[in-house]
Amino acid sequence: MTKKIYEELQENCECARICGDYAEIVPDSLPDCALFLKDNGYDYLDMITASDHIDEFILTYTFKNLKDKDDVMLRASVSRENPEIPSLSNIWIGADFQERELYDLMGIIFTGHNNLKRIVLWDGFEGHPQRKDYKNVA
Amino acid sequence: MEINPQMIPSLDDADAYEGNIVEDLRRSSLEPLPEKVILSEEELKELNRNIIVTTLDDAINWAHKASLWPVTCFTACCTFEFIATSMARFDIARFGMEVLRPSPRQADLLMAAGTLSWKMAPQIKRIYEQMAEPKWVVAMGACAISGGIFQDSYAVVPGYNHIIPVDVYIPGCPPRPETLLYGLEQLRNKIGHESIRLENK
Amino acid sequence: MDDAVLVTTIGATPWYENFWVHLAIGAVVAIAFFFFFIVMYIWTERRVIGLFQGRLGPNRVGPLGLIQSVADVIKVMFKEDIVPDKSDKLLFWLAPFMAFVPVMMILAVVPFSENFQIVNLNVGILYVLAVSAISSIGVFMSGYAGNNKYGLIGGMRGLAQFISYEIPLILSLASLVLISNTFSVNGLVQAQTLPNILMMPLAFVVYFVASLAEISRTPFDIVECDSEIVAGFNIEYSSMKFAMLYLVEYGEAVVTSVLVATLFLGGWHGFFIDGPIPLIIKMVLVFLFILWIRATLPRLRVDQSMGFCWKFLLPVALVNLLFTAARMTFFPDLSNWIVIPASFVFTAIVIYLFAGLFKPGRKVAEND
Repeated sequence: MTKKIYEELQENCECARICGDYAEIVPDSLPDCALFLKDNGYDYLDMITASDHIDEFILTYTFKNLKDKDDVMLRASVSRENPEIPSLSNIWIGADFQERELYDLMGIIFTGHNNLKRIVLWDGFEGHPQRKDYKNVA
Repeated sequence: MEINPQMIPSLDDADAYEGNIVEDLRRSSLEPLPEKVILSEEELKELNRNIIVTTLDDAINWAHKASLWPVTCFTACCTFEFIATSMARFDIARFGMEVLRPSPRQADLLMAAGTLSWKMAPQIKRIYEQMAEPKWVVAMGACAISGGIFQDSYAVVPGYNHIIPVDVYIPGCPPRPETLLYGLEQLRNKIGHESIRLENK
Repeated sequence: MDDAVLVTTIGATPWYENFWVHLAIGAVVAIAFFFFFIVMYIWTERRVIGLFQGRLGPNRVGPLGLIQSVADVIKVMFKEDIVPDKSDKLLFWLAPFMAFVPVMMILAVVPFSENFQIVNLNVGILYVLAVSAISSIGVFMSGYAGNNKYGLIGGMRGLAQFISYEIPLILSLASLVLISNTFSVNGLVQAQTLPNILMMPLAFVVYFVASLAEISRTPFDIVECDSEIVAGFNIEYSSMKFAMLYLVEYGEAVVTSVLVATLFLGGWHGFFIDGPIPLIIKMVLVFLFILWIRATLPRLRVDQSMGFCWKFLLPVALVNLLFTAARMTFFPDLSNWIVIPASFVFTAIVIYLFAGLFKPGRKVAEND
C-alpha cells in the first residue's frame, strides 16, 4: 500500500520510482521534493544518513509529520567518483551538522553548504573512515 | 600545552590548530609508555635497612592511602560503575575517597574510566599534567587498558598508557564494583611500597 | 590605718587576672577549640551524610574513621605546591590567610562560660559582623588571583551572595539587641532567661537562613559545587593553601553554630549546670541541623538565591525589626506568657504572607 503522499510527490516532482516504504529520487531534485514535503506538513527533518554500496552511495532522508504522526523516507543515489548532492541546510538548519558528519565519515560533498568541514574527527585526519575501502593506518 | 590567543584569529584556524595538536599526539603515542618502576624483593630489603626512613615512609604512605581523592574526569560507560561504587551499596567513602575534587590540582587519583578517543586525548593529558604530585592513575575497564572492543578503530586510543603512565589496570567491561574495590586495594598496596628515597616519583 | 590601706593596694593582681596569662590561655583555648571542632565536624559531616544516604562514611582509617581528617590534612600537606605562572603572586599567597584568619577571630568574643571569654568587648556583636565580612574578601581574592575564569566567576558569585545576605543577618541581630539592651555577646547570653529562639522565632529563622548563605552551604553552595563551577574559587590552589581554603568552609560552620547557640539557644545556660558543656551540646545540635538541611535540599541557582535574599529575607527582617521596635516602645513590660505565643503566631503570619505574595524569581504569567 503506497501512501498518498508518495503519489503526490511523484506527480509534482521528478521522482524515479516508489518502492513500498520509500521513494527513490534523482539527487538534483532533492530540494524540490523536500520543499514539497515541507509544504504538505512533513516539516521535521529527522535524519540524513548514507551507506556505501561499492559503486554508489545511497543517502536516506527521513521526514516526519508531527501532527499526523507520519513519516516519509526518500533515497538518493550518488556515484562514488562524483559524490555530490545539493544541501538542505538552507531549508532546515538541523541539516547542517548531519551533512557535515556525512562529509566527515563518508566523503559526500553537499553543494551549497556554507561550512563543510569535519565535525566528528579532527581537522587533519586523512580519509573517510566509514567507506568500505578505508584501511586503518594506525 | 599552551594556547596562545593571538594564534587563533578565526574558527577555521582554531579547528586547524586543534587538528595539529591531535595529529601530533597521535603520531607520538604509537608505543605505550614504559611502566613505572616495580621494586624487586632485594630492592625492598635494601630500602628496609634504614629504619627511620621506613617509619616516615610508612606514615606518609598511610596518609596517601587513607585519603585518595579522585578527579572528576571520566569519559564513558565505566563511569557508571564508578558511580555505583560510590553509592550506598558498595561505598568508597569508607576508604575516604568520596571527596571527588573537580579541580585536578587538588586531586591525587585519575580514574581512567571509559573509552578514550584521539580527539579527547590531549585534554586528558593536560588534566594529568595539571595534577599535583604525587598522583596515580587507575585504568578501569577494557577500553582503558587496551582500547577494548574498539582497539582497531580509527578514533580510539588503544589504552590510556599510550598517553599517560598507568599504575593499576582493572579489567572488565565494565568491571563490577567488587572488582573496582579490589583494584583500588591493589593501588593502596602499591602506594604502601613507595618511598621518598626513590628518584622517579 | 593609712599604712594598712597602702599595703593592700600595692599587692599584685591574682595570676589568673594578669593580662598576658589570660591572653595566652585564651589563645590556646580558642585555637584548640577551633581546630578540634573543625576536625570533628569534618568527620561528623561525612558520617552523618552517609547515614542520611543509607551508607557508611569513612570507617577504615581509625576507630570509626575518626582519624580520617588527620590523614586528609597530612596528605594535603605533602602535595606539590603549584603557583600558576600568570597569577597575581601577592594576592595568591595572601588570599587563603585572609579567608581563614578572620573566621578564627570571631571566637575571641564568644563566652564559653559565665566568667570566661577571651575579650569582653562591649560591642561584641558589631565586632563579629565586621570581622566575618573580611573572609569574603579573601574568597574573592583567591578566585581572582588564580588567573582562571571559573575561579573568577565563582569568586564573584560568592562575594555577591555574601554581601547580599549580610543585610538580613544584621537586621535580625538588631532586633535581638533591641530586646536585650546590650551589644556585648556575654550580655546577650546573660539576658536570655528564656532562649531567644522562643522570644523571637522570626529573627532566628532569618538569622539561620542568612548564615547558611554566608557560609556557602547547601542550598546556597553555588560558590563551590562541582556541577556548576568546577571547584569555584579554589580551583588553582593545591597543598597547604588549599587546605586552608577547605578548612574555611568548616571553620565558618563551627563559628556559625557557636554563634547560633550563643545568641539564640541560650549559650552557656544549661539545665543543671552552666558552662562550656551545654554550649558544646547546643553547637553540635545546630551543626547536625545544618547537615540535615544539606542532605535534604537541592541547590538553588544563583538568581534564585539572590531573589530569595532581596525579595523575601530582607522585607521579613525589616518587618521583624519594626514590630520589635514597636513592642519595646509601647509595651516594654509584657509578660513572657503573652510574648512567646504572639511571636510564633506573628512569625507564621509573616512567613505565610511573604511566601505567598513574593515568590522569588517568579515571572508574570503570560497568556498562552
